[in-house]
Amino acid sequence: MNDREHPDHEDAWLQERYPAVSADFVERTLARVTADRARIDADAAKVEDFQFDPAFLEQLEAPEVAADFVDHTLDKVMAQHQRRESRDRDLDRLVREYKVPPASEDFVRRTLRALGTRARRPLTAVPRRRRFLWAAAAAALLLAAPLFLGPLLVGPRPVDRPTAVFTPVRFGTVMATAARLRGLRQGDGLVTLAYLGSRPGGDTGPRGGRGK
Amino acid sequence: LIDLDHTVVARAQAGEEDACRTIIETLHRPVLATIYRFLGSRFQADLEDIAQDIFLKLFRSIERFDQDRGVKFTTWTYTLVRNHCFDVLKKRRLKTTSLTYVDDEDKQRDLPDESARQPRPTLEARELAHKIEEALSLLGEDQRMVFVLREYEGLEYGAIAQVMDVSEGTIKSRLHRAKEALRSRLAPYLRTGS
Repeated sequence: MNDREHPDHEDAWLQERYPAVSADFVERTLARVTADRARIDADAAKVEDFQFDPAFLEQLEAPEVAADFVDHTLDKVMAQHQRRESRDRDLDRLVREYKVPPASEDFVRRTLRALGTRARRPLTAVPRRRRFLWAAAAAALLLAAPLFLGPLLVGPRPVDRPTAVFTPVRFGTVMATAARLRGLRQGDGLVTLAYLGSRPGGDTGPRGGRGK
Repeated sequence: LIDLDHTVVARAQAGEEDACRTIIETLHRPVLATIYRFLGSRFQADLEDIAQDIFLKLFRSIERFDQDRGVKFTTWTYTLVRNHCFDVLKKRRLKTTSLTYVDDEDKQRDLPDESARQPRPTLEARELAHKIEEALSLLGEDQRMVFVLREYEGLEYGAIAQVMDVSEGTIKSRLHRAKEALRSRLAPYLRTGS
């Protein structure tokens, strides 16, 4: 019973908290317990009143034991003892000598996969700082490549600045024609536009030495 | 039953074979007799196996026996006997009221070796043994064990109380009731037998 919750009016609290029992429950239970105790005491007091004749009871003889019972039992007991000693020895050795093997990378990966997640980086990965430096260098090279290699890739340009294309023909027609001439597929509009931009005057003809 | 010497028990706890042999030699007859009278002739074929199981349990847990706690080693052994016998009955799902009694003819058929080993008792003695066994089998398990430990093995009430893990008064009460029941069932034989 929790004293902190115990109210001043105990009877009312008990009636509310526990199922109702008959008013004489405690008295009746106590009476039964007392009667049971008295019966046990009364029986115990009479235990010596009647004695069986030992000769009568001995008519129920226990069977003879096999002659090799003791030897046979002792063999089993000692075998059990040796098994236990051997088991204890093995266990001790196991505990003493066992080394926990390091977890392989594959094991970690499989475990994380089984757990529904992925390793952020492999255990043997390059440190993050070095990876960032490598990535930055690679990005710089990519950005600088057209600057240095551009003339080699596209050849000398007759004009240095982008040329605006003015043509009376519809822009869509120009693009389609240029694409057809250059063997470009429909939808490669950006490439076509770049091609047109590289020709002065908006020439749509193929350039010598390039194309197909 | 005289209790075993403390040094023998201590040596057995250390795993010495001689001490183990001494314990088995001292206790095997009372253990087998208690099992037989408690479980009845129905278990006679398994009697030695059951006794061996008890000895294996005994030596498996002998290190836990504390001689300083005031419990005799024999009393502790009877506790193992009682627990194992109750387990045997539980495992075989036999009802207390019908567990031990079998006809003599069945006994003879099932156990020819055991019968041949013993001197053949007279017809009257066999019938009496049969009736005592039958009357014992009709007792409840607790009453039967108390009766066997007191009347056949001669344990003191206090020791039986330790074996059964109840008060001494309860042991006396159970014994009295067991005696009354047996006296009632064996009345005709008691007049001629006692």
